[in-house]
Amino acid sequence: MIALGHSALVAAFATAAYTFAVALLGAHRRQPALVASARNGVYVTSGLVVIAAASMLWLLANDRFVVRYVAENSRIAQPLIYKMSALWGGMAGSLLLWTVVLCVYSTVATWSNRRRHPELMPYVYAVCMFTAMFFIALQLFAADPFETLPFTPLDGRGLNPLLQNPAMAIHPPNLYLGFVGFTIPFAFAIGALASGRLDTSWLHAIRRWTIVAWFFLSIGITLGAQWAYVELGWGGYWGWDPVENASLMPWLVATAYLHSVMIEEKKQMLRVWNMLMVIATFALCIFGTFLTRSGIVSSVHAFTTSTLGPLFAIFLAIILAVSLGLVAWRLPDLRSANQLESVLSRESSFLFNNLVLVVSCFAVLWGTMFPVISEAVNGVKITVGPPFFNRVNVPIFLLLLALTGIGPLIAWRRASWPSLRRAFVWPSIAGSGTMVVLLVMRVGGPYALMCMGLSAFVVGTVVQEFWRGMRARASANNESWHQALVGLTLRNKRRYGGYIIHVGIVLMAVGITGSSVFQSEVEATLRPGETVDIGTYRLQYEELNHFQTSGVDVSSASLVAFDGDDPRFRLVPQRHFHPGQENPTTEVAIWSSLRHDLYIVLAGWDAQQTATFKAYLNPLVKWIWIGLAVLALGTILAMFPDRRHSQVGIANY
Amino acid sequence: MDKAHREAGNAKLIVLAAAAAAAALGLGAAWWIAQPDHRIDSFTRLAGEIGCQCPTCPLRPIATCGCGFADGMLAELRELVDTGQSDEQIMTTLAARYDPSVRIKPGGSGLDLAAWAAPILLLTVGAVGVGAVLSRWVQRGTDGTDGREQATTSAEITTPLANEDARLREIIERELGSLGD
Repeated sequence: MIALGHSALVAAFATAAYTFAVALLGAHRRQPALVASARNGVYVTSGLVVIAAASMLWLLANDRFVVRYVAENSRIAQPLIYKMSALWGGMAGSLLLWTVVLCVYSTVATWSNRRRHPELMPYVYAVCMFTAMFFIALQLFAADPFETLPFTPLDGRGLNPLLQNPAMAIHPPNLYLGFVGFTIPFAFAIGALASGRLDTSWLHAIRRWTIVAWFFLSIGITLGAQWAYVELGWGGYWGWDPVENASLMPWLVATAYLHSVMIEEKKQMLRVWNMLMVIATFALCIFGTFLTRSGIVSSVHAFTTSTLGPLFAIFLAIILAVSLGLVAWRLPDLRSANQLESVLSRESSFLFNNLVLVVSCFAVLWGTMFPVISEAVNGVKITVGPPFFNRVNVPIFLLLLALTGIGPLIAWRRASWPSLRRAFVWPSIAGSGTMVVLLVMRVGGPYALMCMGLSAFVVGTVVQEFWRGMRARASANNESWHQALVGLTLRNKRRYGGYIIHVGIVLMAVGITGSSVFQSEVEATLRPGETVDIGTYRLQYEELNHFQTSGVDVSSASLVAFDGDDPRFRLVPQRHFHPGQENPTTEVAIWSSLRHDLYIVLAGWDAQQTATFKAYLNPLVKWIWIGLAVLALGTILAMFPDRRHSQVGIANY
Repeated sequence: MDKAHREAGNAKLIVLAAAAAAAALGLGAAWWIAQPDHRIDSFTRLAGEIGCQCPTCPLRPIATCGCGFADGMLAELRELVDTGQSDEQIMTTLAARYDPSVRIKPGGSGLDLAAWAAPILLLTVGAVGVGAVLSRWVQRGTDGTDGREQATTSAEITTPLANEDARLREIIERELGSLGD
């Protein structure tokens, strides 16, 4: 199986190189036979990479510790799910996962477009296979997942205990599905530039790909936050770590693109800008992959320092040089008749939305790289941590939240003042009313007040949009409210899916504000029977137990939470001591409700059963995860094509 | 022709002046945002600006880190604050004791200020830029002077679309008007 996996990778490299060359040659000579051969090359390469990945999974599942990667990331007592997820627990395996996801995406893109976009597709094959070649080359020459040891260890070292968490079993694949997914829009963009087919056909071809990649990246980022929340034991979920930032940056730029592309679709404007957004998104995905593997910035999530950094830097430089060179070459063809009827239009609000999203991405990138930049400039490494990111990004995000509400209220092309007044009145009342109520109740500081007020404003806009549409449909078609709501949403899935996504973002904003501004914390050292208060809860420490499970030594405390005089629930925070690992992992106990999470960490103990606990009351955290579900629902809706219909009079409703 | 040139020149001057004003505003905002928040006490403020030095949670403020190492650093910070030293003296002491990376919030002067200024300048000057671009596009759209970028093909494409859009807009506005009634 080792030989099979390694041979499959070698063969995949060869077929990817062949496909890359033949695709370009076929496009240049306009020979369909060569292009067809390239298409088959994509399928064969993908098949070989899948064989390599399947071989690795087999080796992991069957404890073949003669393979260095298996020995370093798995062990006999590890549950099967974590043996499988060890595929992305280490450097070489994660590169293999990157490659297999890329190849599966390439195959789907190739198959679904086999009879479409004949001018673009050869370049799409070439870009996908060039990227695959790079990642396969990394595995063959720098981080070989099938490298064997000169001896066979009796057991492996095991997966990093922090990664042995259900969220971690699904978070990286989602993140990779997002990161790698942006290769396909990038490939189509390069195809459009290289072939000169710069009409909107390539935009239509990548629309669903972009949404799918954005969807998975959103899920990946949020699941990563949830993993940090339950596994790292510091009461929070987002620490502005460089690797967290690396996943956020392409998400921000892709979000900007998903808005600005609508202007190009409707008015053939912003063609250069959209092209740059697609290129920037993919480049940031590669940059994020580079950041995680280069060791240039310190991060709790990064893989061990390796020699891959310079290789990624070279690959990134090639991507940027080629794509920006193509943009410069095609600039005369990309220029469009940029005209607007009025500044007071949705186009304008989308331009400002793009500015704010790009600035936010830049702020994150700048802060992440500033230690490196400052060291290069004056030899002193200036460290940039959460205080910087929070202070700079919170106002930017508030601006973005405001634009999220304003955008849908302004008409395309030109809005009149009376229509604006009509559109803004109820959402503004909802927003300002919320702020006044919170102000009277003396809840939170200025940022929290603004965030809550703006959140109510955005929800107000979405409710109003649905309400107006429902009313128009109900009266035009004699439908019931329920029929009108369903019909309205299904008629224009992209628009109403987008509104639902806005609600998801708002729920997340509310959760983030609540949990970061109103968090309370208490630390207490207790003997059995003693209590400590947090919020309205009284926590009574019962006992401490030590036992072993699945080869892991567990220290487990038990507490009963009282609300008033009534015992409400039991909390069991633990510490796990994994064999072969220096530090124990924290297994927090969380009692979660829509109002708040009670989050308990077992910080320490002594032989007399005296234990130290950290208790956090994190308001509204659950709304972040609910927000993700709503966002996912809206994205799934927006992914599906709209039904064609002839009644243009109610086309927008 | 001269008048058109003069107007174009004036417009450029206005945009430049607005960009300069936005840059000044951005720099001021960056300086302000970089300053320590003196409304909160010294211990709380510094605990939010000092990064944990343990290997598993780099850069996390000791105020929220929660690990045992951060707890030790918090105790040290408490002692230093109680001696009455200034923020800068405390930071210098801790940087010497651990590593310069204990300071996780850039300061408000020199190269540190560049960390704060760059994104804020991009936002303020970018907003002026977007405003200028929008006003240019609106001018083109209203006076028909499309500029040299407008290709014949684009004009041919957009004219029938514009007519169709105008017709649709009329229908939509009529319906929206009836909603308001």
